[in-house]
Amino acid sequence: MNCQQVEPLLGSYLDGPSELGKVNFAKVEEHLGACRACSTSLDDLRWVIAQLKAQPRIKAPEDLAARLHRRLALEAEPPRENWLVRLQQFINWPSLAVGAVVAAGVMFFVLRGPQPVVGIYASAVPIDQNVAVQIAFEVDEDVQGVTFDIRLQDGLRFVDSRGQPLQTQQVAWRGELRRGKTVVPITVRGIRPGRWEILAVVRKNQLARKTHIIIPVRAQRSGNISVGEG
Amino acid sequence: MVSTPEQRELICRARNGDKAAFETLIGPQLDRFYGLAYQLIRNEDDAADVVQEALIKAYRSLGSFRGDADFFTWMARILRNTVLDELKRAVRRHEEPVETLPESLDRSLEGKAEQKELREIVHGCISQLSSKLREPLVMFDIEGYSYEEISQILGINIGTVKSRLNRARESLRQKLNKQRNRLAGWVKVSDELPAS
Ligand SMILES: [Zn+2]
Repeated sequence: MNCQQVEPLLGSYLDGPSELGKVNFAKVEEHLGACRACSTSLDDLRWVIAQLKAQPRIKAPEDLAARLHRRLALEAEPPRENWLVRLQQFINWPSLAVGAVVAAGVMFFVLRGPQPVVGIYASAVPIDQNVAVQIAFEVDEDVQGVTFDIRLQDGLRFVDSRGQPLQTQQVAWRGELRRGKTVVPITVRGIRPGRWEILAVVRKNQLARKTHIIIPVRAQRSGNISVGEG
Repeated sequence: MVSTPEQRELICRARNGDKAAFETLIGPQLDRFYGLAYQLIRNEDDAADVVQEALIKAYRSLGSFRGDADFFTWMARILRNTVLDELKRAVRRHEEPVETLPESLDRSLEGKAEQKELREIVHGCISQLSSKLREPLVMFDIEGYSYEEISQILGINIGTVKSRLNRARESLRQKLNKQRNRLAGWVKVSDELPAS
């Protein structure tokens, strides 16, 4: 190895043979034994790292915690009655959606006794178009401490407030259900053709109710509904 | 890396609006958050503002925190994005890059003038690095973040973290080498930098 080859490897050399591999490590070592310029560079590099490590740890200003406390006090507390607001922070609402409302899933939720899984099919939507979906929960009395969980299969993504798809495929939150019907609107986008499922689960203690909403996503070009593994 | 059971409990309470739980969660990390913000921004007031802004953002978006992720790295990622936004804003505001020599050094330090000058020179050189190289350097060598944490915060794999870190150190060495005449006054003989 010559100086040009050795110089960029000096940092990895300092990390030991495991970083550089035994063969290269030995080659660099051999060169360092024979080359004064490179071994000086290595010393410099050690010196630079030592300087960095010796930089004083900066402490947060003493009033930072108090400032944060005051600032937090001004923050609206996520109201328990209005837990939908929480969802709004990371899921888009239909009014912001690019595409039209094409699917409506309705879920009747009663926290007593066994209930079959409900499956709802929407009409096919084109790929890369935002789709508003309404999931309705209906109860005959107020229910506290409910966990909501909405999951998307691989071909679907949630959409953010600018209408862009997010990586997230699952959201869960805790809230209450008021007597009557509560509608949770979400916006999703099909990113691959197929029959994809939105799974909405509501849990209260050991009880859970599931709704499957099937969104067929079709490839734009063909206009056909291609059937995926769903 | 996952959150501890105590953290999970606090996160759960914070998600339900418990601000005290949120403060308990982030309290022990304030120095680390501030340290990172300060090293990247090099201005005490701006760093404090950015940390506060990032923490409020985090509080608002607790709902999107995935329970299986590490809470600290999740927060640090929000902080890092807020820092980047602030740096972009600063560029627009002054219409000049912020990567100039820092004016402000830790005022609380009553060290020797030479040490202070050394630090200034080192930081001057760090601030000339591209943010791609500066971030891993500041995080690993100054702030003591692990490879794993940096990889998660920056969203790059550990191999990339290591190679950027090495490139950053090497680039810093070369930049410092060019400052030899300024360094010459106080570098120990044994540590003396070579003529390049
Ligand atoms: Zn050489």
